[in-house]
Amino acid sequence: MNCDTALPLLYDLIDGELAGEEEMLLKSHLAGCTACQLQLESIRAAEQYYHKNIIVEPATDLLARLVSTLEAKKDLLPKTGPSPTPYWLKARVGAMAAALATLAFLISCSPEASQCLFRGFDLIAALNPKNWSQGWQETIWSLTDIHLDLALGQLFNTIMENLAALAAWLPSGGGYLITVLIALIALQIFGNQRLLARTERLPEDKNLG
Amino acid sequence: MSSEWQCSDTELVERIISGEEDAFTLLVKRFHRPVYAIAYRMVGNVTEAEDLSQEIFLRIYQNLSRYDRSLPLAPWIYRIACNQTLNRLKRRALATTSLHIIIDGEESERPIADSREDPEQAMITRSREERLQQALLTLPENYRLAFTLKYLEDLTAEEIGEIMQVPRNTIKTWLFRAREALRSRLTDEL
Repeated sequence: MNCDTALPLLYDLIDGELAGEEEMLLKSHLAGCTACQLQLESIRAAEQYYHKNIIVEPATDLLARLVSTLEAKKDLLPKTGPSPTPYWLKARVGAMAAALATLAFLISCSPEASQCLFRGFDLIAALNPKNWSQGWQETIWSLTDIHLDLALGQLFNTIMENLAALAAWLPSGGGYLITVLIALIALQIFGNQRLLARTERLPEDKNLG
Repeated sequence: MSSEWQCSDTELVERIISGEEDAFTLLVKRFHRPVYAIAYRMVGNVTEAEDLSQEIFLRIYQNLSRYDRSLPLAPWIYRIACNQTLNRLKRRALATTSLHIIIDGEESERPIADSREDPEQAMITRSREERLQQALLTLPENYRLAFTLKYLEDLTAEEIGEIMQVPRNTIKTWLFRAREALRSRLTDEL
């Protein structure tokens, strides 16, 4: 160990963060190095000086002034406590629940709506390879046969078939669903606007005195 | 000791959040000295330190609901104090042409804190504090902040690192450089 490597360790020694072999090596070095012993004394004197003079007392009336001003400014801030659930949020949740209940009622009462819903399930079920229609299967076979142009053509046809089926479905059952979705989106937008209007922000970098 | 001081930090936060009157005043009472000391040591100006202290406590109040009550309160408060202080210094640096902080004749604004102290001794004490302050203001801001936290609250490098969100070894390096720089500047005082 030399004096350069010993210097930062002197601070660790004073901070009580030196232990084990490092401490032994340092103490061994100090025993034979007057310069480092003087450094250690200087560091100890500095430490005492810092501890004694770092505290700075505020003005005696600072606390009173802080409390007085903070009490006034606090009222401008959003409440720090847990806020009660706002009425518009309760209304939104209630509206969504009512919309879903309406949809369920319609589906159960209307054979046409039920059929449309099942048709929707059919489309989802089409994603399951086991349920793939002939068109999809032939598409895959064509791909494996590396008849790419044929595969692409069949893929296009299959997609168009399914889109046509979806288009046939939309005027009836889809109408119900779209109406409900529009209502939910409107409520979401309305709710967010109310939230933004109610949010208060602390003005930054203004004279708070 | 009055009953208000027997309230733990967690209980105090609960009382503030539940809306109890005067609970926040109690928090200000408990922490205004270290918060002011951090602010003053960093900005070097009494008026600005008082203004900054106000800003810090407002920010504390604003964010109290986000405080994790399983952790000690003091480091959380010091973290807010550090962030607000560093933000203030950045804004000041952008607004001024020089980065050197000039201490004007504000020493006279600071009252003698302990009126029981012998006036001559008080003057000597204040002179030492201000010499230290002038030396501190020559340090980079991060060094100055780490140094202030260490000696003000006797924090370890690890604790300072958690407050400043910086690795422990970085704090150790900053502290080493700060202490060496100050030691060479304050040789006459030591």
